[in-house]
Amino acid sequence: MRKHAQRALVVALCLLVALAFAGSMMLGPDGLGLPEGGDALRLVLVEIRLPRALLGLLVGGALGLAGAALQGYLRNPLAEPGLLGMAGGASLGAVIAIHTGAAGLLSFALPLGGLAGATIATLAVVLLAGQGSVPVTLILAGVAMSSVAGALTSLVLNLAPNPFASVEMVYWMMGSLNDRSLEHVFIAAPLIMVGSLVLLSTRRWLDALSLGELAAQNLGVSPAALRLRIVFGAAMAVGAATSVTGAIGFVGLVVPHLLRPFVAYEPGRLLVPSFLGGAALILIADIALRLLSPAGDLKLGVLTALIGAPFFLWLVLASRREFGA
Amino acid sequence: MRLVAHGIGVRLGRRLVLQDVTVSAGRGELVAIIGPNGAGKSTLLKALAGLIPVREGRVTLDDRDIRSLDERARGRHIAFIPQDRLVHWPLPVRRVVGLGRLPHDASPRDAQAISEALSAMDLEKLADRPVDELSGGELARVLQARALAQEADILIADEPTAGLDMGHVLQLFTHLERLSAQGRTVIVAVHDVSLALRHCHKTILLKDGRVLAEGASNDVVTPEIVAAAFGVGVAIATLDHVPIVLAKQTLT
Repeated sequence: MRKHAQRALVVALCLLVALAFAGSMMLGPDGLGLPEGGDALRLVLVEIRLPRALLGLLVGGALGLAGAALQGYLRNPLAEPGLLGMAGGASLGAVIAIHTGAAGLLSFALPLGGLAGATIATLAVVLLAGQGSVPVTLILAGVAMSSVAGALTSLVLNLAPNPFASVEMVYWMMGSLNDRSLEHVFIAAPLIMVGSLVLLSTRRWLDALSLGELAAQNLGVSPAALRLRIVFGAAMAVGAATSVTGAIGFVGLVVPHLLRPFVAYEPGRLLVPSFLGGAALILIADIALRLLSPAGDLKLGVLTALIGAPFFLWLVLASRREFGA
Repeated sequence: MRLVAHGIGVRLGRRLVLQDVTVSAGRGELVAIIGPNGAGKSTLLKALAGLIPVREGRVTLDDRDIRSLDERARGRHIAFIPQDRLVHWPLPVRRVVGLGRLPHDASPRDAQAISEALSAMDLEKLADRPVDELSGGELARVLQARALAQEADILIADEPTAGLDMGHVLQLFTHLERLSAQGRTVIVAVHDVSLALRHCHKTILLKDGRVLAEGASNDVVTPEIVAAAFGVGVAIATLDHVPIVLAKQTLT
């Protein structure tokens, strides 16, 4: 019974992702449709629309999955992929790439800068958190790293060489799928896929962790190995995602939260649906964005924040009801 | 299987919680661990289950160092019920009990073991209920059923009776006695010293991180020894063949 429900959910989400992907491929600046045959068709589909749709799928999936895995690991429904500092590190790396002008010279300097930032942030978090197996030290290290990255990002913005550079940085940080190429896909896809597989491998351990750390350890979970997989899986998936699209908030928080009741609150079973749900949400949000603002002035990260903020308010009200306040 | 702690010492932060503790539990033994608050009972149980490293000495399972086994293998030999009754998500009861099968990695016995554990703890009617809708006592039984589903040779439980009504305390100990009669080793920390005297073959009395007494429960749970450990005058009586231990007055 439970397995059937789970399968039905995954199938439904797969269909939704496929539809949204197809919709994203079909949608151009003049509404739905494909350009007339030949080279133009190939160019538009492969060079422009495919990278956008693929990145939407992968980045949304990475954020949804990383959010679900972190919420399961920390046993806290408010955990989100940015919590461990990788997104902040990636943002810092990217604005530095813009500041130094590297991004202007090489199109992939920006995502590489992001990846470098995410890597450094991850290593710093691991060193800072130390050997202990308690998740709370990891959160503290992540929050500390995020604030360091945030401060340095502000500094870089402050010292921007010219107003255009600062506008570029701010726009980049808002998160977008505009003007991304297949190069971006090649940079991000392998990392997102490996990171996602690493996160998926923690499935049963996250279930065991529902009973607390001692019981989980008694059920065969190695706390050190689990922590390693969570940190590096999330670092690869979220770091790569943020490096190519900028910061896209709320997806990793909202998606697992919405899907959790459909998998009977089991943290392990939540992972695959959260990947699919995140992918569908980003693809659909990106389609909505292009319909609302064909010129591309509205940014994806802004739209997800506009969807996410009311959701947060609803969470507050729901928890108030739950605690009878 | 035989579980032995050889002169173990455990430090938590700067505090030396256990020093030079040597205890053992053999096949079919039901062993109580008693002692005043802060004596080190929980720490001893965790060390015996291989969940925390020891600074001195070692814990062996049939002569193998317990920390040399990987986590999954340990989970197949030893089931551990922590004192904190945590379930972080409102999972269905059957699923929580099913987590006990994780160390066995999808064995064909899973379904059978889960339904036996549910029935042993009187939980069949609650099997599909989310755990956040249970009372404290019901949750305790669910977590005990999880450990039973593990079908380990050794069961270690930290204060399993806390918060249970007298009916379920009796039911739990009846079940633990049955497990030990089947050849399993059961080690339980209990606050109620009467339970040790009534149900357990053997009692280990801890105080300030050391073993104050170890032996047959009748030899350990005596007015003199219990008084020395707990700092109270103690009366031990038998009512309708049931031993009871009561604190009389505080000793100064």
